[in-house]
This record gives sequence, C-alpha cells and structure tokens, in this order.
Amino acid sequence: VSVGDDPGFEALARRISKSAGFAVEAYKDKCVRRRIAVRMRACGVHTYADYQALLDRSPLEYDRLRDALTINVTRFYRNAETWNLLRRDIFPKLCGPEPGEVRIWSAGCSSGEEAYTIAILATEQFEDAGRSRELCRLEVDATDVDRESLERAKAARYRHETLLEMPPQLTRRYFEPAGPELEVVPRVRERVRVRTLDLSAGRPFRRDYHMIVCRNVLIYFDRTLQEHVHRLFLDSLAPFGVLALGRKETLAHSGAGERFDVVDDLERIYRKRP
Amino acid sequence: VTAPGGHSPARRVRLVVVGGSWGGAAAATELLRAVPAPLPVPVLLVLHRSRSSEAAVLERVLERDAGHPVREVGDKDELSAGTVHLAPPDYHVLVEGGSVSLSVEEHVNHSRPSLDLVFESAADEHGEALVAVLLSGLGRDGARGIAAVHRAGGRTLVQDPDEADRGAMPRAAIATGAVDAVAPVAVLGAQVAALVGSPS
Repeated sequence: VSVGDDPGFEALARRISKSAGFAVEAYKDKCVRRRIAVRMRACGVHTYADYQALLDRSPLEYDRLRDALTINVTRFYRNAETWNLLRRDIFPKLCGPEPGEVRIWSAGCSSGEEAYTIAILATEQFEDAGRSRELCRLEVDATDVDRESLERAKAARYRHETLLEMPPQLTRRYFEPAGPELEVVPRVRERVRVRTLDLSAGRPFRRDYHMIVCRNVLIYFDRTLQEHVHRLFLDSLAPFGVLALGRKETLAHSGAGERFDVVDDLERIYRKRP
Repeated sequence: VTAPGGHSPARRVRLVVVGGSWGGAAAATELLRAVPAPLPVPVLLVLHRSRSSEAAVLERVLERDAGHPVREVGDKDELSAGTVHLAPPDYHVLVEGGSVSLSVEEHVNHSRPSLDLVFESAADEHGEALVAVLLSGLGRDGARGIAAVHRAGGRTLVQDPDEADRGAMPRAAIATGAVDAVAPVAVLGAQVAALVGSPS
C-alpha cells in the first residue's frame, strides 16, 4: 500500500500487513480502501481507529476483509463475447479427436461459475462430435483462496439469475432443477476438481495445462504480484497453451508477456509460444 | 435552467449516481425523462429492490419511459456515457475508476445495495466530478453518502420530501446540511442536464 494523504488509513494498512492477517500491500491501495470501507459499514463503525479496535477484538474480521478483497461476483458465461470466441475458436481444437487428456485450469474460480462454464463448453464439443465416451479425457481444475466460495463451487447449485447470460440451450442441456435452484449435471460436475490455492503464494500444480482462464482476479493485485502470477501461468502451461484474462487485464507490459502471442487483443486471449 | 451551487463551467462531471428506495423507481424514471438523450456521461442507478423483482422488466420499463438505454451492471463492468447502468438487487455496488464492482458483504443499515456505500465510493473516486441524486425512500440510507459526496466537492441533489412517495430518506439527507438542492424530480432532472452539459 503506497503512502497516501490519509494517515489513519496508512496506519491501519500497516497494522493489517504486520498482523497474522494477509499481505494487504500486494493489493492496489484504492481497492484496499474501498473494501475496508465496505467492511467498516458492514460492522457499523465509522473511523479507521474503531475498525482497528474491532480487528484487535475479533481476528475473524481479518478473514472477512480478505474475503472482501478476493471474492469475485460472477455469472455463467460472463462477458458472452469472450466465451463465444472461446467456444468457436479454441474449444474445438482443444477437444479434438487426438487422444490424451484435456487439462484446463480455472484460476480464482470463486463459486465455480467460470469453471463449470469451461467444463460445459468442452463437454459440448465432445458430445456434438459424437464422442461422449471421450468425456473422461477432460480435467478442469478450479482453484480459489476462499474456502467458503469453494464450498459453493463444490455444491454446484446456482440461482437462476446467475445463468441469465448463458445461451439457453446450454442451460437446458447441462443443468437440472434442484429445489428453487439449478444444479450442474453430474457428467459435467465430475470433470471439475475444486481445490484451494492462493495465487499470490502459488507454485505450479503442473506444467502441462492446455488452457488457463483467470478473469478479473489480477485486477486488484499490485504490479509485482501480477508479474508473479503471469510467470506462474507461463510455467503452468504446455507449449501453445491458451491463457484467457479478464477484459481489463493484459499481458502487454508484463515480463512474461513476451513469451505469449496475442490470439485476441480485445478479449485478452493469449497463446504460449513453444 | 442554471445549475445549483455555483457550478463553474470548468467543472467536468464524469458520473451521475442516482439512489432511491420505496418510490425510487418511479422518481428515477421521471428524473431521467427530464434529461435529454444522449447522456454525455454514464448514470449509475441504484435502487433498493427485492431479489425476485424482474430485472429485465424494470430495465425495459425504465428504457421505454425514461428514454435512455438501460443495462443492468455486472461485476467489473465499465460505465459508459449515454447509458443508465442499473445495479442488480442484493449486491453492494462500489465505483472503482470507470467501472463498478459488486460485493456480497453484509447488509448496511438493513440495505443491500447500500446507497451510503455507492455514494461514498463514487465520491472517493470522482470527487467534484460527481453528481449524486437521492430520491424517495424510507429509512436513512444515503444520508452519510450524500455528506461524503459534498465533502469531496461533488454536487448533491435531493428530491423534495413532500413530493416523494416516501420522504424519510430525503429528509435524513437534508438534515446533514450537505445538500446543494432540494426540488421536485422534474426540476432535479433539468439541473442534472445542466450539470452534465446535455445539449438543450
């Protein structure tokens, strides 16, 4: 967190960083301020000093603040143009007839909407090509730092409004009613493995992913941490592996960026050079 | 119509945030109808409404009756000039740069979205380039936010409590002493148009 004109905030940020909490300095200053403001309002306190007192009294609040910084609100098929492009240009090649696993990583998957969107688009490729039996080739890893979000991802049950952007034929095909909600069908769910990973401290799970999707996760990270995670993605991808970032995220000024070709500049899709 | 509060032409408004609760949707419709299209800046419209309310219906009705394109915002969506960006029910909305982010933190003052939060974040982000409008509603959500906008140098407009379907929220904001103008929504609409530099 950089030095601002707000001594109260500075002191609080220093205290949070020093405490057993988490590396608040790895996030953009403004973003941290915004999230602290949300937590303060949610706790009904109005000064940084009062919030600090609350943190001292109730260490659980550190977790809540971290959640506020890291949890992404998302939907299935969020930013349809990006998914349409992946569905048209990337998934058909990824799920082609050549044998072998298809390994995809949804990094910072939050409550799972992105990971299941990926699994659905891959499943569609196999099934439309009359190769349903090859579904077992598909492995989607879904990771996030927030355990509560991961529990929701594992449950794979979603409110209708999270599916508003999904093409309706995909919703009909890959969801079934579960009470007032919709549940991802078992044959898709089985392809997704949900696990905990802190990207800021993460090392590659494996070095042979065919695709990594990480959208709107790095947006709040400071430059150094962004570079670190870009490098992690580079090391985790197989040659020609695809990286899809959020629409406001870029590899353009990143060291690892030189090792990627741009597939689509607008949708922020990149391919690792061999 | 002259803009309230000694508006100098040097001021460049970048965002209008409109908040409302009970009676807010109708008031917002009338307000926005008084602003000529196309809007030269984005409008962020935040209403307390139930999760079950049909977003698509409200979008369509607003679009038809207010005469501006209306889109529900998602997390990290960019706010674009000419469009009324409608906040979804049951999330807090924060202004961050030219975008918004959604949050599932607890209710604040029994409200999610919290008008205090959206006004405060917008004030922090845009300072004097912000116009904040508070409309009809019960309770006192928005009052702190309006005060924050005022402190940051932004313009604060509040619906006349006697005109409002529910006057409690406007009254709470007025009581902070941080309000630049109190008027019926049709008048506020004209003031918004002048502040953002709409072609008349």
